[in-house]
Amino acid sequence: MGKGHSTKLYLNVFLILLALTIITVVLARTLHFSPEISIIVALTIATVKASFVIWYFMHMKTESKLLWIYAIFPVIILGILVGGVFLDNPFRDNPTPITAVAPK
Amino acid sequence: MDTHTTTLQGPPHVHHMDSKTAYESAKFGMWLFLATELLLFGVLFAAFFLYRWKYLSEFEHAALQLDWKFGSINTAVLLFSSFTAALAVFYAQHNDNAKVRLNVLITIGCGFIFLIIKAIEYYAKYKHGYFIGTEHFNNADMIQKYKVYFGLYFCMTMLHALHVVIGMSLLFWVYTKARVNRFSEAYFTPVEIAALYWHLVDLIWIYLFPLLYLVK
Repeated sequence: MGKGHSTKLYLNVFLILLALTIITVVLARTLHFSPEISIIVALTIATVKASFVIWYFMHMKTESKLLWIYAIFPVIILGILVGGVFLDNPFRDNPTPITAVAPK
Repeated sequence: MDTHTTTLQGPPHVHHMDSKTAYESAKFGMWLFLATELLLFGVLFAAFFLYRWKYLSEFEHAALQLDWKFGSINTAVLLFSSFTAALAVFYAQHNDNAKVRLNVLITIGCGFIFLIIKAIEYYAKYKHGYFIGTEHFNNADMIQKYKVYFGLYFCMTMLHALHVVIGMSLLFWVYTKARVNRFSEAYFTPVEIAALYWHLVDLIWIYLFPLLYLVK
């Protein structure tokens, strides 16, 4: 029972994660996306990888509802933070260019 | 994955209920802590997104100074270490302390490889004068092109490296317990907690790698 099956599952998850890493690198090195698209592609693949780690390696698959709530809560707070920052900034003046002010 | 609870049908364990409650609380506490860690790094990621958006051309230019090959190797190393950390938990649940020791040591070894590669990268950046505060960095051209990006780069990766060191220390503590065959299907909390922390280290790197090394 369990034993062989489970280690094999972990191995498969690791191989999938490795494959996704190679896909990220190849996509970024070969295709020339616009800055917006490239960050969305990178974040999407990273989130898929993170889900595999959380689901299988961190055993979220079998955890209780309570733990799920506590795991998802900070993600929502983070969304509010990032969302707030980006709701605010587009309505401001253009950024001042980084001026070269060498100390001393 | 409930094998460890379903196979627990031998002689009744006196501390069974206690240890189960203790196990659940420890795990719950660890997840709470991981939530705060997520917010800690989340703020830095928010800063990264914001400044990338504001200073896109500087970011594109500066990101080219990182070597994606180092980053890719380090990603593979950390993913493999997460795999062995998960195996350590699995073997602890199956009363195999020898394999817990082996997998924990491999995980710690991967941590060392990661840090060595990071140190090589840092040294190259330091020599090129990308480190804030070095004499070379203070020249006007450097500040204009690299300041914001490398400020965030060092802040995020150094904080991450600190987490790697803490994770390795936790795993070493697990190793010392496995040496005296402390773990069994009835007690494997420390292995699981340390592994959870290690997976978090891996998770953060999963996001850091493409954002810092690959996105143009």
